[in-house]
Amino acid sequence: MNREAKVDKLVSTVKKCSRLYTTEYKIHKIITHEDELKLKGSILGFDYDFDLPAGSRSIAIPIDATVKGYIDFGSFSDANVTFDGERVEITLPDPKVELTSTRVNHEEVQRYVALLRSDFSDAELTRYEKEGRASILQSVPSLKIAERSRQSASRLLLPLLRQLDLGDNITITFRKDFDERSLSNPTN
Amino acid sequence: MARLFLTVATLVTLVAMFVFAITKGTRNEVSIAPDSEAVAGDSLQIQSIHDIGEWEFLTLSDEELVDTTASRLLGSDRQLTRIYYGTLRLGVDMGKLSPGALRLTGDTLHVTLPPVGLLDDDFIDETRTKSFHEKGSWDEASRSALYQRAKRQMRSRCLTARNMEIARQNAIDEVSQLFHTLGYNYVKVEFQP
Repeated sequence: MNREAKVDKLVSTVKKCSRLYTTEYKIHKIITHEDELKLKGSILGFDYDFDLPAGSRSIAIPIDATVKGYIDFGSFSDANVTFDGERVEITLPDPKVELTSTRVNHEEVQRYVALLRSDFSDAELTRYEKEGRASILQSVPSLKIAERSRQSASRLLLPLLRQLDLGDNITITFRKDFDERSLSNPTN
Repeated sequence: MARLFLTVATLVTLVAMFVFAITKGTRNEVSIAPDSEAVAGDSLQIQSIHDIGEWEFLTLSDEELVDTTASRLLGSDRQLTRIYYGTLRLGVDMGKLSPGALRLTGDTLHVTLPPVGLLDDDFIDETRTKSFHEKGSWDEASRSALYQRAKRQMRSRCLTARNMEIARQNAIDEVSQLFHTLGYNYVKVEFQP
């Protein structure tokens, strides 16, 4: 297969949406991995297991990630707006959270490879980085990003909507039974 | 004499152990293998928290195959091929909204939005990268250069006039719909130059 044929298979997907990202967290994590070359076995019924000299490897990979909280206006409808005389109450959809980018800080990767060992392969590195990514996603609910997104959304939208003739009669609310852990929806 | 006796006794003992091991079916094994430790890391460090106002109207998910080769004086060329994944988000930055962005003229609401563009230049999810092929050993500078190439390819593939127009049209549709919901029947959406 030539290169052009391969590139043609990598098709980008386009999707219309209406998401208002209201808060951004920049996160840093260092993932580490180490392994030893071991001599293991048994002879005459005696087991042995010891590290070979000059057989260790270790690596530290710094990762920067961006996580954003957003309100999905794709699900916004008449049901989200209540008119009560002059007053208008807008109930915004539940905030969600997305890991929007990650980046390996290649300049600061530290590695040690002993004499008897081969260097870390590209496949090994990408595997460690994926495990680091999974660890970041696991930690996202504890950061309370969705809760902060609600507050940021109010701070952003209220001054804008108060430019309308409705003035101070507009209030913004969210669903009352809000649970950060169930609402956080880190994707990708 | 005692020394001879001790030597014979040692030999007999070793032979006996050997015979015992064979007759009892004891397996003798030897292996040399790396003993892996799981990937670990310190807890997350939050470097910054910001309020933003990025209103996304078009999402472009892209993957790019990027490779590099290097010649060696002796032997065959080295080669590294990786697949990068990215999501480019097109929309408007509400932080750039002008003070008179919402204006009511008669029964028509005029909304003036900032220009549509790429919302965040960090759009590659590098920790999703797939290693497709590796021949020879590569340093981190080479991987960094591949990342930059993948980024350029994604920008070139996705930031087209057509996609910008789709995002603009979707912005008009979505913002109009939002204000219709708030009771404004006539909404005109424009963009800052």
